[in-house]
Amino acid sequence: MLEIRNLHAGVEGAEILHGIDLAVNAGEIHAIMGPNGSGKSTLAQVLAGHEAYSVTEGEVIYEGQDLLDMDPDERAVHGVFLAFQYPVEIPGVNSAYFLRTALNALRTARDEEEVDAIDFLTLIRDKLKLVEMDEKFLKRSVNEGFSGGEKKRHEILQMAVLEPRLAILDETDSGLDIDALRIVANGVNTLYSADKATIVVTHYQRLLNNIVPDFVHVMLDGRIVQSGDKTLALELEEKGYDWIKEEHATHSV
Amino acid sequence: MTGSKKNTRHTASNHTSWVQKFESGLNGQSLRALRQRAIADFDRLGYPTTADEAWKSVNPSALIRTDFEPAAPASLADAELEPFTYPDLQGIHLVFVNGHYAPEHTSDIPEGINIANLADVYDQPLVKAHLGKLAQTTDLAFTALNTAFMRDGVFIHVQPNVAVETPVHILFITTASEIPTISHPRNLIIADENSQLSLVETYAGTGTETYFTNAVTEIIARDNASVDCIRLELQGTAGLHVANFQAQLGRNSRMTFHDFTLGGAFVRNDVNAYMRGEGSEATVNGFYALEGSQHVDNYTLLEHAEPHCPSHELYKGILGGSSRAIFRGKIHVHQKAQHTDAYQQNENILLSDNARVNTKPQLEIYADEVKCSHGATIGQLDENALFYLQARGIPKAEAKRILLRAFADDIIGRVTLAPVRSHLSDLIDTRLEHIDAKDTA
Repeated sequence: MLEIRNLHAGVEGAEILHGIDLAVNAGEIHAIMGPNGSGKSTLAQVLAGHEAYSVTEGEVIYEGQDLLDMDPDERAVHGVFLAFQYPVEIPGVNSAYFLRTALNALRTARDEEEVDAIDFLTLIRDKLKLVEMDEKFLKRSVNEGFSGGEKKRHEILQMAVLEPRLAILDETDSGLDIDALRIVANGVNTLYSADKATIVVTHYQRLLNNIVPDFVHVMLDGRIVQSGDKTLALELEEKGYDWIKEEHATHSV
Repeated sequence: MTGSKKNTRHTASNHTSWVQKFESGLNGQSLRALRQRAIADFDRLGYPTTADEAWKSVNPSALIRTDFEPAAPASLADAELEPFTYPDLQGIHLVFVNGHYAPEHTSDIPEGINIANLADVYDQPLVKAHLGKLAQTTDLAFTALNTAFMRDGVFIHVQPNVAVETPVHILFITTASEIPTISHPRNLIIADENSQLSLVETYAGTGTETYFTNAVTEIIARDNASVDCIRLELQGTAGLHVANFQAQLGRNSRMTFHDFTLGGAFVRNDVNAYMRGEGSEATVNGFYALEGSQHVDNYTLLEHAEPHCPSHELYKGILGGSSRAIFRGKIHVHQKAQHTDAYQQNENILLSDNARVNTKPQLEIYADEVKCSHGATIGQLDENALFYLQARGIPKAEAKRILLRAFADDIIGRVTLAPVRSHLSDLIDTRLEHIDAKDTA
């Protein structure tokens, strides 16, 4: 589904990713872990197409197409979804309008019929239950005045509405209490199916108790330095990142 | 009017004789003293230059270099007015073409409200008592000029305890003319004690030629009165527009003013809400969307003269091309005006590198128990918000439109008159698409 080859990218001339290689197949859940500043979020942003990041080398093939050649909205149309680490507040645009506009943008681009306001309401009520959000959220400006947990649940709500094939969750667990974490994880698990793939970017192992990864990758200084199965996450939880840093430092000498 | 090219004609005696000549063509001469004083003020003030504090950052040369002739009457078919009316507004309509009252377009007037063409009621005691009292000619040259040459416009008197449920819509329209023309619309509105009025002023032009509309509106809201005003400026691409809006608020009265500037090459708005009665409340909001080389100057003054008066002011602008906006908002709290609660904000989005905004909020406070806040922002469209929308599949152009529209909605949404709000909404959508298309192209 997704193949990242030797990806170098950075912001304002400073390279942050120094050659990432990663293959993700349908039906797989990948966790990308690493300390702060290791480039995890940059990778997520580059995959979603943020203009501030420029790719200097390498390629990303998504379902046989050059992902880097697509505008952010085209990527969404092709089924790529980024759950933002810091969801953006959009004053004056209410959540219902935002969600319906997004859904219809995808449908229009895919030559599907638009969803009218009434059908949308039926659809969204169903999805709201999944993330245990009240209907009143729909009337509020996108993310404005939302608590940290509400913002993250709102991200999963968007994911539920847009039904991506490749979901990238960028530190969706940060700042969540146990309840919100459970809701978010439950949402992600419910939306998952064998024809889809998920990349979970996280600093902590906590979320991975609920969203169980097939593969765990550790990022350090813009590179994936170690990959393994879910036991790697547990090891990181227990020992922290220092041992990997040391090991990696020894290796590179 | 004349221009600077013909400086020889710019003598006081000449101006005075013009006014006399102008007046002799009118029905009544009861305003002689007012006109003479105004033209004397104009002679003393002269046309503003950039040396004048209020015109410092503006070059009003377009206004003075042109020789303007008084605009001639013209008759317009209803169909020609249609673009400047509000399709669903069941209101009292009055139309002025080239500054001349066009009675054929006036709709039925309900009881409890006295509406007339100002030129027909100079002799009414209320007019004599109030005309020119709020819009002083001593320091505003264009107001002096208006006062010297005013003729048509609306006079409205809402009788005490009458709530006029039908909004009044006044349309001032200037038709295309090869010769630059000038008109001086003049409105006087008195909402008597415990009365209620909703007023919509539209200023528009049909041509692409230069013309000059120099309007003055005076509003008196007496004790406990409630007045809602909306003003829409849709002047033609080369239209010059100077407007002075003066409102005086009596005890426990409230006044709202929503100003939308979408057209015109040069627009200068003076807005003054004078809270002269305890517990009165003024809301003054504005929106401007500019492109090309448009220039809009909003100069507002919220005068808190009595205690317990809240005031709310929010001006927002979207600028494309090489357009220019100036916002100067002053809150003046008199010593007596304890418990003033004043809020002022000016926010701007620049869509092009060549657009410019100068914003200057000013507070002048002489009372000590006062809550005042003000602020100003100038920025670009939020790139992160744009990316967020795009990442959800919304194409960039639409994402931009959504964000700009949300920015504008903050003002549009405050207009309570639904038919006007919905028409404005369409106009602004079209306008924003136009501005953005130009800058993206």
